Amino acid sequence: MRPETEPPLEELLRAANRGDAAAYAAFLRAVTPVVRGVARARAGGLAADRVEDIVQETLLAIHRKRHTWREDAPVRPWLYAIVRYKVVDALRARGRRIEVPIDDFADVLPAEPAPDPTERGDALRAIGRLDPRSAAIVRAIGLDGASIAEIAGALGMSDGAVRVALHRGLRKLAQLRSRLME
Amino acid sequence: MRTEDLIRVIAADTLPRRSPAATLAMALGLTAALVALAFVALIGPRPDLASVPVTLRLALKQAWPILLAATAFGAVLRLAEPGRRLGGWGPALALAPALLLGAVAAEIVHLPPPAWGPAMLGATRWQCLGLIGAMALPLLAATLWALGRGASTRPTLTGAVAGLLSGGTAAAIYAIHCTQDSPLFFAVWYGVAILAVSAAGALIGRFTLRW
Repeated sequence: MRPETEPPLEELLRAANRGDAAAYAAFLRAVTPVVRGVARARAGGLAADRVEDIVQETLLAIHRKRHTWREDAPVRPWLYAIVRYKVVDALRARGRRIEVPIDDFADVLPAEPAPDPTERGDALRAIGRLDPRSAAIVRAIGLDGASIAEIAGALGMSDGAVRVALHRGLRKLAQLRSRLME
Repeated sequence: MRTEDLIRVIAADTLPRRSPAATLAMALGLTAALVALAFVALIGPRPDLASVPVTLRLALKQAWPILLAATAFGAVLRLAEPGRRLGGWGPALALAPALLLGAVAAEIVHLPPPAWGPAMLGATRWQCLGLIGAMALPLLAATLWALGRGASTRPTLTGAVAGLLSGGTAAAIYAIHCTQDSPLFFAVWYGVAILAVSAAGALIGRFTLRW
């Protein structure tokens, strides 16, 4: 699933909790194919861009709930519980009742990325509903690859203020994404 | 936005967050302190608090809601963390009710049957229900707020156990004031009040603990 050379998920997430953004990105990249595999396996027939929407919603949920992982526990049971809950939730919001048994996860094949869901709607629509400053920060990092320091300079804010605005923006974004879907 | 772009945005947000245990302990501790202060100031402890002999029944009346709240605290924390098993905390929730049943059995053996009714009904049952309920409300609100920052995958059950935690804490505070020392009384009326709070917690949690 992942190259053997990568550190275990626990190590990455622990480093992320200490503020290591690169480790956190590596963690998220490592879990994304797993999330996508579950979403695709359960979504039977849902269009690929829809599945990718669910993947993104789930990643946002993992992010918002990352503090509920205890550092002395293995990551996978925690991760699978979140993925199961969010994928079921997202599919239900789209009018599909499905069950995801726990044991399924062992067999899920990580899936390759699907076509980009984004230009079509939901993601950009949700960002558009953020307050202008948070939206600008999300776009600057996501689309232009800007760093916190660069954004702080461009917007005339302190690094800390950018971080707080980003944090709030992501929380809002997660709520909007869950709600806008149907 | 492509998923890879979203990951970049998410990874940039590295603000630390408090653990569910710390959040719950803080919210419950603060609210319980305020509620207890208000209760002592407005209602006060039982008038004979200084002189009443410490019997086993008195100790049980005070101890069982504390035991219930303590076990509910442990259980609800595990429910708030995804993928964690209840483990021993499920059975531990039965400790307080078991203790209570033992006390009731001893009381029934001890009292002649005609005395059972009056002992159970007591003189202050409505006050008991009302005050435990009133104190449990802010506690339940604080508890559910804290648990909402966790990630329960079973919102209804989590809400119900949050109700046991809030109701147990409220009953433990009320017991300082309560002059009815028969297990028949405090099993029935504390029990009814706590179960009502638990039902309210299940109902509210079902909706508010989703994420």
